[in-house]
Amino acid sequence: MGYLKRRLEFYKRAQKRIKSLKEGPETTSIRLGDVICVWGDTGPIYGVVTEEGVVKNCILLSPELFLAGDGLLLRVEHLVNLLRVTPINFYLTPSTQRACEVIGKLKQEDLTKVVGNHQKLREENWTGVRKEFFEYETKRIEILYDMFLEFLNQIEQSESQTVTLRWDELKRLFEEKDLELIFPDVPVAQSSAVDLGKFLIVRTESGIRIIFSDELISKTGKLTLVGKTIYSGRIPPELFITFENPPAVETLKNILNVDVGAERE
Amino acid sequence: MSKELDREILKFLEDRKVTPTLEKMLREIVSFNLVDILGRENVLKIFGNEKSAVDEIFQDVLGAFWEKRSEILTRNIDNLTGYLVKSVENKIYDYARSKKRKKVLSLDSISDSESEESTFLDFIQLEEETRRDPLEQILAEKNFEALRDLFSGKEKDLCDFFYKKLFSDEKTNIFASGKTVQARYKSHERLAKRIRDFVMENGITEAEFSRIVEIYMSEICEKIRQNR
Repeated sequence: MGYLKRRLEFYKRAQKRIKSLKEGPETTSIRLGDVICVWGDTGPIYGVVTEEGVVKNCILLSPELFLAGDGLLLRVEHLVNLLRVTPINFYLTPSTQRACEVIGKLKQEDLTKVVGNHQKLREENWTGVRKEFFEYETKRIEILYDMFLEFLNQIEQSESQTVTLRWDELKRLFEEKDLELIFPDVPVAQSSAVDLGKFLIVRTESGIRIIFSDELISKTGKLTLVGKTIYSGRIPPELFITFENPPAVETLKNILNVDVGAERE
Repeated sequence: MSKELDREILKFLEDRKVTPTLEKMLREIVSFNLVDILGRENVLKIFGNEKSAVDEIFQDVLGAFWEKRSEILTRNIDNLTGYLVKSVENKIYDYARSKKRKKVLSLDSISDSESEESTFLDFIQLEEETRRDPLEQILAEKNFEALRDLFSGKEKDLCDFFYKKLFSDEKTNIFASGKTVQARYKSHERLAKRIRDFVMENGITEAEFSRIVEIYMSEICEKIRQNR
């Protein structure tokens, strides 16, 4: 067995797959160029932040200098001293940032060199032991990819779960007498929410949120306001009507209704 | 072993006591990795003797863990063996690379000051290549040994192959040993395939391979040539 192959076998035995991240008491503020240690349950994950945003793109830095190829080296003061640039990248979501410790910062010119080196390494055709090492590293830090996917799913779900309607467009459905009902002259008590069982009405600064009960979600039905259908189809978890000056929930509770099984008028 | 070691490291971080068990286990890990990564010859070159080498890495690793104890303890990390092994290996790589003695952190003089941690930010820098990296040289020597073993008994053929590829003057035929052009061509074809397989299997880069060939030519081919 070649030396690198043997080294890889040792490495796999000592560096197990990371199953959970170990959070600290505070969320760390992470910026472009920061060199970080993500504390995992079985070992550290080192990286450098190359793109900022809600999710931060990072290049994986490896303390295993023989197996990790011939990328650039960075000197740090941590449990380890030298880290090698790899062709692997990962993402830090907001929830992973509590497991991070910033251990240094790269100057812009060095960051540019590191990013360039990473790109070059990605273009190389890694074979044999080195390829196996990079594949193992990707599996070892798989938890970060899973958390990233989970984060994307959450965003997608929260976007698809809310149906938004605009009052400017809806108001054309109503006659003057209906509008007087919706926006009465007499002031009413201004509570911010009312639970009607089938749905909850919440008044916000920019509109009205209608949150449907679990048994209605996904059923076919229609939502009416003063008897006029303002939405029909599959009942979403939440419907939001944008208003410049949202009406009181006390008014809406008497004129807003949902009918299941009656999609069209 | 790792569960016991985990407990011992935690004990050290909590009570600042290096138990005989921790000392024994850590010294064994250091000793094994020193020889595996550097080889005995390099250990002697860098540290003078193996005991000093183990002492230095042992102190250095415990010092690094002590510096990070609040991070480790507040994060409730109980599986510390992975961290420890990584630290040992990396410190050895660093010694091999710098080939110079570093400040040994005495546990008695360790400070709790947080301001010391903030100065770490000033430390980070890219390791610029100004000379041949000793670490790469060590890896090349390890890979050279693998290549030498793989072509044991075929040294002359391999030297002939390398000389033919590298030289265009009279040196080219030094190792040809009166073979016909066709026999030599076929032999080179077979060697090229085996070398390609060796490079692919080990994931060796072009620069690394050049270094291996350099060592092979100086350690094997030159010696054969001089003995003729």
